Amino acid sequence: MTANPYMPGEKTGFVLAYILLSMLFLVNAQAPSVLSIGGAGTPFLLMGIYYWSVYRPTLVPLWLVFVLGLLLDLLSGSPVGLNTAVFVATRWLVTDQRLFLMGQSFMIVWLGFVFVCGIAVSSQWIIYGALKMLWSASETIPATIALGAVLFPPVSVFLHATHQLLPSGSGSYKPQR
Amino acid sequence: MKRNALTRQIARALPFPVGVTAFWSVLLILLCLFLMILSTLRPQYFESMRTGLSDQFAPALSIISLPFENVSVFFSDVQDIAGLRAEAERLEAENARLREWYHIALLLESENKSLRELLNLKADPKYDYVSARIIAGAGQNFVKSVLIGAGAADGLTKGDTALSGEGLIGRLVEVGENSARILLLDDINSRVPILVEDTLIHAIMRGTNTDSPELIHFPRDSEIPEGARIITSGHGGGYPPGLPVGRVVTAESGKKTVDLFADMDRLRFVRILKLQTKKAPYANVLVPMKDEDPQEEKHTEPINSETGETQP
Repeated sequence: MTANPYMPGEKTGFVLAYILLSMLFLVNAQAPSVLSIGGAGTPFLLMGIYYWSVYRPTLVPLWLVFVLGLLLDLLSGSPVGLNTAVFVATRWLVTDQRLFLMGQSFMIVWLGFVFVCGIAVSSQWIIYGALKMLWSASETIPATIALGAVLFPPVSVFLHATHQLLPSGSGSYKPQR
Repeated sequence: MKRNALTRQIARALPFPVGVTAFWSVLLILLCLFLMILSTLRPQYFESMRTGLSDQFAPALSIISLPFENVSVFFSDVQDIAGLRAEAERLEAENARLREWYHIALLLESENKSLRELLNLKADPKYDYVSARIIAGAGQNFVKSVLIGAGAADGLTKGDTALSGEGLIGRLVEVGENSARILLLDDINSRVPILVEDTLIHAIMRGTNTDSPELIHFPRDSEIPEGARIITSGHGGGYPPGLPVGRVVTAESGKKTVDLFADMDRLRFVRILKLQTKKAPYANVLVPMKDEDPQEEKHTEPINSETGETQP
């Protein structure tokens, strides 16, 4: 029998982190109309992937990001791979830049998310238009970025609280508020 | 460990050496691009996977939707309270007008019935309704579709028409056992044959992923009046004829668009129209002649076109 490497409280932190990620996934898939403007939805799952890619990339390995993206595509009725590609690219690029991001203030991390959200939704719009050979209304792009920018701070409060419960490990960094 | 070393070796052997994460990320993104093209060209390959997943996730999505629905109802109630007096006056006036219309409708119904009998006109098929709650999808980014908590177990089939209290909203494109997906009228993939009431101009209403679908394929010399009522024409058999859709609005660009009766952002419950009696799949196939094969004779029985059952 192998010994449990984590303290009981630390294990709770991991469980909570994955529960929170699952909740973000479900809310993103449910796409409530009360959290949408002019037909644009809020990128909740992107927030979770972005946050953990900066502060704890081992919590969101590439395969998990890929599976979550695929599930979201299949559930939302969008072309399979549309959200997945964006999530994988976000995880890759943000992990690449995390040395810069993780020492910064929350404001910079927030701006980083707004930038990533803009790139993500714009590339989705272009790919979707190219696939369908029809260009849908571009008003969706600023609306999604605005929703992401407004709702990232409240979501990151929960992510930050969960992060405080996680043990310090290799590649982890706990932001100070 | 061995696998990581192998990946590292492959990544270094490439013309442009990359790290392990970059190697796997690029590989997965390429796989995603392949899946995107495949799911656009052959959506049927993923249909069973989508419906199966929707069935599995339907209970969780239904629970998640409840608090958001309550918040939505609360805001809507607050708005309603503010305009309650004005609403009551409007409803009283509308009620008086509707009472007049009710008597006219009764008169027209009896006249219609006698004329139908006189012409021996084939009656329109009768429809049943199934009401269902929307459990997901009203606020998606590029795909305008919603998931409802009813499916094949409730008698729904692919292609059934979906209505809200105000008018047409779309039709079923995927049907699982306990859930189904409605492609909304404003989705970019939606096409509905419509009729401009009074003028009898036929056109196609195309979704644009905005609140106002546009009208295409109508005669160039035709003049579609502003505010004219739009109903389904029933052409192509995709939608039953005569369902209310919206009103014509001319956009600033000069394009004819449609202001839909149904408010797509506030959908909570939908009604699914389904035929009361389905036509037998082979009802129109001729039954083989009796003298062709004496052995077959015993088993060849005419098929009732209404029920699809064989008649002895």
